Amino acid sequence: MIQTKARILSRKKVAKGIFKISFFAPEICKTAQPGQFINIRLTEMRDPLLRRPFSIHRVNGEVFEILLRVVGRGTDFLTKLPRNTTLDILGPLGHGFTISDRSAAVLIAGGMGTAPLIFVAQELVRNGKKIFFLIGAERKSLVLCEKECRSLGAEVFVSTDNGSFGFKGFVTTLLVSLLDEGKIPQDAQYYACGPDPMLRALASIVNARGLFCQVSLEEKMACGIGTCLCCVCKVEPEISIAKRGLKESHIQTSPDFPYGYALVCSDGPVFDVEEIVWED
Amino acid sequence: MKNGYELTTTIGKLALQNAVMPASGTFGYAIEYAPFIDLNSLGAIVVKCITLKPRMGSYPHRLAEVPSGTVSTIGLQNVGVDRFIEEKMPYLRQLKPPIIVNIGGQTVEEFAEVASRLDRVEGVGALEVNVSCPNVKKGGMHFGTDPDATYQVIKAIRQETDLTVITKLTPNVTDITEFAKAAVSAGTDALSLINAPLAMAIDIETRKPKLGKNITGGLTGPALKPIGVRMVWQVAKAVRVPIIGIGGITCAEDALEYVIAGASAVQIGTYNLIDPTSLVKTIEGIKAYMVRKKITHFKNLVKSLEL
Repeated sequence: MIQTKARILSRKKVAKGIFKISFFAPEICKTAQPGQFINIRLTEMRDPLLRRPFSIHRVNGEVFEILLRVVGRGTDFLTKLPRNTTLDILGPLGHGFTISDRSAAVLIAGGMGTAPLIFVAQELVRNGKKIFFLIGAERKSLVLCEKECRSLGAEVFVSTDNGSFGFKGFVTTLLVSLLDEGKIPQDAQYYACGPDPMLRALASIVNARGLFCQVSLEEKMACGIGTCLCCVCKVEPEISIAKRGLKESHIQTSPDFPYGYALVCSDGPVFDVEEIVWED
Repeated sequence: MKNGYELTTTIGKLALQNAVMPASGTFGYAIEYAPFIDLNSLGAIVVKCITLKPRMGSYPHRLAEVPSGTVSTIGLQNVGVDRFIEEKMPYLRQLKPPIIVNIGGQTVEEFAEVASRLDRVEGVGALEVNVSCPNVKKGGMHFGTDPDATYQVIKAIRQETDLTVITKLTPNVTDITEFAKAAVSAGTDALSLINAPLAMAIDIETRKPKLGKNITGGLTGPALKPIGVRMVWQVAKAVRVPIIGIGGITCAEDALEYVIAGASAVQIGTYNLIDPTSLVKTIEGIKAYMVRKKITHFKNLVKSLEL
């Protein structure tokens, strides 16, 4: 984890409001693990104030890429910066995905959840795993990285909410259908990222079928390094503490509370599905 | 002395090598910042607020960015005084700068109990009394917006310890000097101000508070500076104890406004989260200003506003 400078090499629009930006940052690329993220300072000025966190989308040598959707002032600002701009970034941050021993991997991406999963796929390929990649999007024009997944050697399945491409319905509905048809293995390692409603639905499926699944979460962040305590998520304390250790993690518990709080930036962003408490 | 320039300052019994320290809640327990800066170069280290029992803190969705600031609510999430002493103090006590422990409580008795336990702990340099958190249902600001309650808390803590006691004041009051005077009569050695004004942000698409079930939070960051500077100026005219200036400090120039208004030391809070090196840059910036203005002793800058 370091504070370093990264230079913008390229910016490419990949879909409406969605951009891929590449950065020259050898120090970050050297140690980055799939599922980790970087916290980017947008400007030396005071506004936009906070850094913005982005998962590492892909690493190629000394260059890494992020994939982002413009959702507000910060992301808008970032996508308008010229090439060769140098930005102050903190990273790589967080606990990423654990590449399991299982020979098969199923990646489930909902919308922008595709972003960290390409880096995972790169690593899985390096480890000789068989990859099944489920990409879910609202409609055809928002299906991300399909060609790239195929070129990585994955067996790709696409779903769109409105049926304009591939399977009609949510990616979790597609998942159930593929499991039922025996087209994807149940004893694979599952890696998922996407909006909360998708992860919530996925958790029920994982539970019902006894799947092994890691998910990457998102929350508003300030420091990104585990000190400000802004980015809490609810966890099952015994499960989380058994996995991470009480002193080694940032998990907060209290005798009066049935759940715990973990930090998305440093206990996560990747959690086992069973760790997360989904009800609100 | 650094090349003929004296940067030192005094807060109660604490002699600080310089006037710059982090604000509670933005620096964890210091070790998290060790990869980025030399912790031993700081004037002091202020850790996250500690309460008698562990606290879960506020519900998720604790942060919203607003123009020149944040609205946030942590709700004093912390590991509790026992785990703090056992797990965090061993690292902290071997650092060079004095350790200031921010303490909270829901009752006067709780404040006093935490103070009493920390009083006996080797390496604790001072206590900063949090009678100003805007994000708790009991305690915090509820003490700091009632002068008699402020007085009672400080008086009770004073019985428990000879450590330097710093009272952290809230701006959510009509006349902050009233609270400064109450704390001083009760025996506080110093004051720190300001904590966060109570604030709110709304998501207009969902028509829900950005902080979810928490609804409100505290405003932090650059937006605070003009209020903080004004309040430090007012308090410095009203009482004689040293003041630590807090609120929207991002650099030496910001810090110096507070110092000239009357602060003997300053804290950087939100800006640590944006630039982990801001404390160190601010120390260097203060020195550069002193060299440029040919002011050899930092203490001569304190409360040097010309009217």
